[in-house]
Amino acid sequence: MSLTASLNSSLAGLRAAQAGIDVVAQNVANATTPGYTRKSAPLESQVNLGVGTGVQRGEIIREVDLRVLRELQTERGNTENLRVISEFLANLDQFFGRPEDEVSVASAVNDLSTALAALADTPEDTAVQRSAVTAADQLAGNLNRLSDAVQSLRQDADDAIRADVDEINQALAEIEDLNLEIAARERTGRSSADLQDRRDVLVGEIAGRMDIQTFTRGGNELVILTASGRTLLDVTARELVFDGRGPMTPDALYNTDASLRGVGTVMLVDDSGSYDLLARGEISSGSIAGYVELRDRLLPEAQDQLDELAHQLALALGAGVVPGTPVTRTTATTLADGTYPFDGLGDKSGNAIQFTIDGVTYSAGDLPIYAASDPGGADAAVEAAIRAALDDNGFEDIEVAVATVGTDHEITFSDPGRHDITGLTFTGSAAIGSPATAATIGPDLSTEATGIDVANIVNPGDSLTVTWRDPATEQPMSITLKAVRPPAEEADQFVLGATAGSTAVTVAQKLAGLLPEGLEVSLSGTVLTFSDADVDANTPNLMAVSITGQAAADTSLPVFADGEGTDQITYTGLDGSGSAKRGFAQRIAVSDGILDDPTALVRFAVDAQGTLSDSGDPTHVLDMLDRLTSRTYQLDGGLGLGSRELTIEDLSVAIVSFQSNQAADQEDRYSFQDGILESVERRFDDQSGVNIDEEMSDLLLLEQSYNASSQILTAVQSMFDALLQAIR
Amino acid sequence: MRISTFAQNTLVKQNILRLQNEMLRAQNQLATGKTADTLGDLGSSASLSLSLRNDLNRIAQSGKTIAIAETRMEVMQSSFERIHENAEGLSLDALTGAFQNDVRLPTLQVTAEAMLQETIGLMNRSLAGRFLFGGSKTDAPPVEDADTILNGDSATGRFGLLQQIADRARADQVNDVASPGGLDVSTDTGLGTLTIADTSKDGFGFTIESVETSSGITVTTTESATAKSVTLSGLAAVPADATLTVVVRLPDGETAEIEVTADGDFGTGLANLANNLSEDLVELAQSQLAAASAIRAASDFFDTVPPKIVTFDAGGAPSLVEDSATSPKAVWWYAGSTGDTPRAEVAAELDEGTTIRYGVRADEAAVRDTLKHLAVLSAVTFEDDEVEMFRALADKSGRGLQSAMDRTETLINEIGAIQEVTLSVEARNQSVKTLVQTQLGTVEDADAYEISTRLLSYETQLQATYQITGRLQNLSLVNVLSF
Repeated sequence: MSLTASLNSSLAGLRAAQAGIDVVAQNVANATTPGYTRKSAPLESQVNLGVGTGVQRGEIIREVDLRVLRELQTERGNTENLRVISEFLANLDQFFGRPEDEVSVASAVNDLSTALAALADTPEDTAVQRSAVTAADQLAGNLNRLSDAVQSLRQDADDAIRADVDEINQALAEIEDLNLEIAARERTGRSSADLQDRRDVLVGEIAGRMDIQTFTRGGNELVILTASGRTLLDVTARELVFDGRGPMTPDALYNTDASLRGVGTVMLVDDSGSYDLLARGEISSGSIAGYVELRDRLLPEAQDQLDELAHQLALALGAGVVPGTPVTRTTATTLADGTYPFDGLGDKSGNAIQFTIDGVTYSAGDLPIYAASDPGGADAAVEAAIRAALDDNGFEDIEVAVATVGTDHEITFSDPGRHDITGLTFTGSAAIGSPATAATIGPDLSTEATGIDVANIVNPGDSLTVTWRDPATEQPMSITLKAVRPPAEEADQFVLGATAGSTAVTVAQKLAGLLPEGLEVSLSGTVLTFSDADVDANTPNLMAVSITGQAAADTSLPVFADGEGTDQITYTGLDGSGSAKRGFAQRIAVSDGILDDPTALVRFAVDAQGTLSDSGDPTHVLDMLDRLTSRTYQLDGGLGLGSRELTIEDLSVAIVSFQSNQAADQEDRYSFQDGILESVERRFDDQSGVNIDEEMSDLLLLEQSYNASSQILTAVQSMFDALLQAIR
Repeated sequence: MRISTFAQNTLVKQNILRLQNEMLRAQNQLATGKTADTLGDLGSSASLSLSLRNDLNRIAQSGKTIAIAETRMEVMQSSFERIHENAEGLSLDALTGAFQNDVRLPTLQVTAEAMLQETIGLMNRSLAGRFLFGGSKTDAPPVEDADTILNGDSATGRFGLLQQIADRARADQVNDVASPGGLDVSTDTGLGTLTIADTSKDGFGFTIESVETSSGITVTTTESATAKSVTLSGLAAVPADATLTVVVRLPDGETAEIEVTADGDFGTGLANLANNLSEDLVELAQSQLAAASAIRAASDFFDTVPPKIVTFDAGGAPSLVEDSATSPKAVWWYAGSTGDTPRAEVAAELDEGTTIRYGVRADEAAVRDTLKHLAVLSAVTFEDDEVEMFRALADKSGRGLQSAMDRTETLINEIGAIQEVTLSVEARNQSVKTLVQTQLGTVEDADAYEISTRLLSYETQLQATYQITGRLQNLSLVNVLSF
């Protein structure tokens, strides 16, 4: 043992204490740095050749619970996800305005209906007309504004995804570098604690944006995978690519098929190519997931709801609103209606008339006797007798009239096309003057064909009926197809096309599948031709084809149209390729015709010649009011509002309350999740953060140990001094 | 457990921020009196709030609608009450004049003309620029002015009621002494027959209903589509007590009767009988027929739009035709709408599901008949020798006005019933409005007391937090240790 050894030991003590103070100073300085973890440098006794030679500071290490760190990263991802959704929806909610300001779209619909109610009182007052037009204009403007807001929020979300992807790429590149540095330091036994802190911060940044898994390999090298297990960083960082598209429109939607995709997606690029991470929902947490949810689901849903409202509104207040005179067009193929002359009913008893309907012969027998000098009396008697026979046999719907024409008497049957009147014969004794002649009528037993123009089928509810006689039962059978708007289509319905031609094609196809064997339908332009190739009694015989619908002569202008100015077109809910509904809320506008002349809101054609109604006639206005507030319409089921029937007013309320409820729900979810994140953060910080008191007490110890070592040095020095003094 | 200084500070910071946020919100609520800034803040109550606000708007609009409808109906009622009052007075005058007092007859005409003008004025009343009695045609007065109706429109050359009456009188052969009212009386002394013949069964003039005679005279009626004649035979020697009673139908649908006896100014015999009959027919034509002809002419003029007018062919034969819409000859008195349902032409939606239809038009029977009879009385002038005619006319018009009065009463009652509906909706609106406002208050309004309490507790909390923060700041080893 020597004094030198003591000297060396105390020197080591001084060094160790200094290094310790160094660590404490570092800790205290970073006490409020986010992401900083407390460092410590444990003391180790210094042993040289089995002999203790003092003390040394070990490598600086971090105090981190990796389990809590991972939990923290997961929760941060979940919180970010909810935060962006909640923020965006709150933003959208702002557009609906304060409840008492009544600027929401529901209030706008309500305003329109009150304006129409006022107009019904004084239809001719131009100021009231103008205010109704203004209400309609504001409603359209409200829808446009909301729709624009939805799209601009989608654009913001899209931009944010791009920014997040850039951040992730930068973080990955930095982590790649840090991995190398940390490995190098580990190899040379130097501390990598601060670098690891930095790396954790970067991983945290990535985890806030998308969900990832991490693990460390030898050399403290961090590997990052996506939640689904795709490599993001393993030695080298892979690159994420966001392939943005053009400006955001309601039509721009996500699709797993890249050629149909209207918005950008997040692609993972590696040596083997690129892979769409959104296709199977491989990003389910973090802000990117939130933005994607907003851009591709929540905001398009809001757009769809607005579109549905605009769509229902435009159609309800569209052309053909006026209850025009219903028209019935009938084409009968048999000689059901017709005038059949008979001659000289005579004045003898035993006269009878027989007629055949739907294959069964009935008789109006024992016609009363009338003098030939009283032709009017004879006609009335014959008519009464036939009428009675028709009524007795359940043919109340067939009309019969008998009249004197010249020297003949004519019987006219009119039937609505449901029956097949095939024969009329007279029997009886000879009449004065001329004998009773038998007049027989019936269908011409040759190939029958009849054409009917379906160009007039333009409104939902219009229908087409084909009637034929069933050979087995000899009873008339019929099918009726009803026009509906897309997309609903049931067995007895067909969808209206954008043009009369396309409607006709649909009708023809539908009919071809429904008509019995033996009856055929062909199409030329808008004319459907029905043919009955074989009219014998053993096959179905075509009887009648009829179209029933609303008058097409109505010229009242639709209140709302698609687009503005010279681009304005009539809104039908359809375009060349399908539905024009998507994005209609962005384009809806008051028809130019109405803007130019508000009286068009009141007046309508009262007849086929287009004569306009009086300016004070409230019929049209009341009808529009009814459509707006009382009549219910079937909603498209996929809107989050349920598949149900609502009035337009209720629909607007349902949309606003759906959106505001959704915003409130997301806000709740976010603040709950934020609470979870806070508690995990505190747990992590408490474990790994710096406590100044702790550092101070450490400092006290270090100071004392430093003092003590200096005392020893002083003691050794005085010993050396004493020794040297003794020698001198 | 160890506490990180950073975490502790962050916690305090977050707590303070949260409290400040809550305080701000509470202050806002206190200042605005509303619980929510956006519909989203209302959460699940948003839909209720929207619906209630819609209800309030609807009630407000309903109030305006009711006010407008009530004003209009009030005006309608007062107009009809006035018409009723006028008709009542004039019909009494007319009926009294007809049976008693010739002196009142001339004033009758003057009064009628004044009332005609007043009635037309009432029907042409406009309220806030809207003509009330033209149905859905509200932008022009529905009824022509009295002068045009009576005298025609010289600018367009269309004739009025005076001309219509004159035409009809000509067609009815009112002043034709040869064949009064289109009836010819002839005798055949050889056969001993007397024939009354209506040679043209055209609906003008007299139409023979029946002829009754004292015993011994045979009546034979021959009728075809175009003519009717009654032949009385057995009159070769006219019995001294022979009487005939001829009943004729007048153009206004009423009947008149003449009784003729064989003795008279013309001596006895067949010729005398025939002369007496002719004489009486001429008299009847100039009194009853003339009055009935004027009434019929007015009915044709007023009952339909376009009116029916009398035209004469080259031979002078009259026929009744509808005035041409493209080149009208007569004044058309009514210019309003002509739909089948006058009530439906003015409507108001008072409430969801309650629509009142309260249109009343000047061409409704009540008004039309009043106008018709007032116009006839104004149009027909009379000379001293025409008193009988005017008396008959006053009788007919007096009765006509009375039946028009009944119709006016029905109309007044009908509008009254609609007013009842309006009043009940108004009452309902009031009670619903109170309910809705209360409910809206509970949804949207903030309770000031509750918020003040909340605000106070936030304040206490915040103060406590500040104090703790301050103390914690001092509670550090740094302050205790002296290095």
